[in-house]
Amino acid sequence: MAEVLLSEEEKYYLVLGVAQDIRVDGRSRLDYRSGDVEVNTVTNSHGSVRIRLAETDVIVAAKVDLGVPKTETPNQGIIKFLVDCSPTASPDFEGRGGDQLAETICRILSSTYAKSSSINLKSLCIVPKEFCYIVDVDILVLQCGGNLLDVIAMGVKACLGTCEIPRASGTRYDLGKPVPVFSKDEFQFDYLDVSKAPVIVTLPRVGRYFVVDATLEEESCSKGKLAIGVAPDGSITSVDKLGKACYQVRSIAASVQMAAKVGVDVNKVLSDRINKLKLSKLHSAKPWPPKPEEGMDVE
Amino acid sequence: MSNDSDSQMEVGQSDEFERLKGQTKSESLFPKPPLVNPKTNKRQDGRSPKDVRPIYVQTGVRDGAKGSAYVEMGTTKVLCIVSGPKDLPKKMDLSSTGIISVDVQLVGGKMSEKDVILIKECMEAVVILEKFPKCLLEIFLTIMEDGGSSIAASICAAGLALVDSGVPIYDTPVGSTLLYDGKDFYLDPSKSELDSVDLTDSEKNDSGGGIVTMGYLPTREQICLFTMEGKMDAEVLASAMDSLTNVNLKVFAVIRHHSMELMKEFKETKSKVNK
Repeated sequence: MAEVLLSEEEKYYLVLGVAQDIRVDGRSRLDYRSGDVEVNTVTNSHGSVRIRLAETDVIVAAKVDLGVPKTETPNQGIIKFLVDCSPTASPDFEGRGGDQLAETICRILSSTYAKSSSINLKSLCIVPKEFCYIVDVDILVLQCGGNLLDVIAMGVKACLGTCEIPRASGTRYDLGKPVPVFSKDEFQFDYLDVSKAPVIVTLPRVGRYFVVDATLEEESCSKGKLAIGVAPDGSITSVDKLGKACYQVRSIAASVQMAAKVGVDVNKVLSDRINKLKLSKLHSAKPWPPKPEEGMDVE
Repeated sequence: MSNDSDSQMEVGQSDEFERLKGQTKSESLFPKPPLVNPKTNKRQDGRSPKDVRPIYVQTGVRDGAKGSAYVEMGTTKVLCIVSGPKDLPKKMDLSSTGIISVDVQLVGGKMSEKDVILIKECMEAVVILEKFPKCLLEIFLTIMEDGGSSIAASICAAGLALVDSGVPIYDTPVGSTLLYDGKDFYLDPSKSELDSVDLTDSEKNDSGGGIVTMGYLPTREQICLFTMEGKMDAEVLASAMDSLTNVNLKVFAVIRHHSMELMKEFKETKSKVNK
């Protein structure tokens, strides 16, 4: 994890501030910093998002591919995650330095998305056992300014929500094998339903209190943190303890409830933003108008 | 020309080849049995939902190692060997605290990297790393049979091996797993039970469902490992944590009994040597 070195006095100052509910940048314990989401930053992907929260800067891009479903889940599509911690984000990520962090983030993302009911993976299946969509989600960390996991989770949700998945209009049989038929209009696409998809709320413990959206300095005051996935209806989709801290049962229970409360608000803001982004995409990003159907059917 | 209608996948026949008419919906070849037999209210292996599988622990199973332990939880069998603390290899960076490396071998498979990181972070929270700076402590885990709840069994085995090796630890860690199917908790689930729940099915899983694994330090009453997958309400999760704590105390009773016996043996041999 990217870390900054702080002296004992600086840590003491931060911890005391958190105890009085005034953090160094003037926020209270449950406040987020301001951020922004841009869409279509990577033009050769099916959906991409650049998300910034204060100094943290992440690009998420999704690529949709045709593939074969896994044998255990023959009627489900596949979502894969790949996190790349660029050395520009932090000198700690040089060489293989960011590998463990990237692995941890991948694990949390795939347990919240690929192993839970938050996204209907059946909608990514075209022909059971034969064809499904494989969505490769690539995450590039450009700058790490604290609270990386939350920002990545928000970016993934926005990216999947604005990702254009080509519409398979049916199947035909070629030599006894089913083949998906795609619509001739290349602009026909579907959006994935992310109305149940979770965001992650990371709660590092600074002193005796949990805080949301910690800066790098605050993260270096805490030994460990809890990453809690929260669905829009307030239910918990994943809990992970990161770092070498120990917690009491009641403090985990309290932080889960706190995260559920915060997570619902974050989800609401993000969903509004995703809907706006979808609308803006419809009005811009069309280089030429869709061709009329009847002109294409000449054989 | 292809049929370009928006209808759902239609199963048709090609002109040249006859396609076998059969099930068009994919279904598993082996139907998954229900978690609980509704007549007897017992699980597949005859336990009731709140029962834990029998546990067997043994320490000092390997003579050459500094510390070793063998743990069975039902059919899950884990062997753990601890070596060190020893000097850091030259290629590793210097560290003011001790460094732990965890290596997990799953017989007939490979444990996913994520679970190894989980166990490693748990062990870092358990061992008093400040006591041996600039040293490396190696923990080798061999899961000889994975019958479900292998992370929990690995933690127990690693904790016992650390006790056996005499490395300073805060407390003996114990672990347990819980399965939630939307209605009930099933403690210490077996492999077949874990496989039979499909967490990705969004239509069935409106009421939730999930797998929770918790590592616990009983005398300090702290949680050293926690991971949850699936979907749960905050209140359900809190009650799941309570029942996991109870299970962990049961597991700890077994481990404590074993450690007490060890202590007794140790004292006896010591007095003999002194005479």
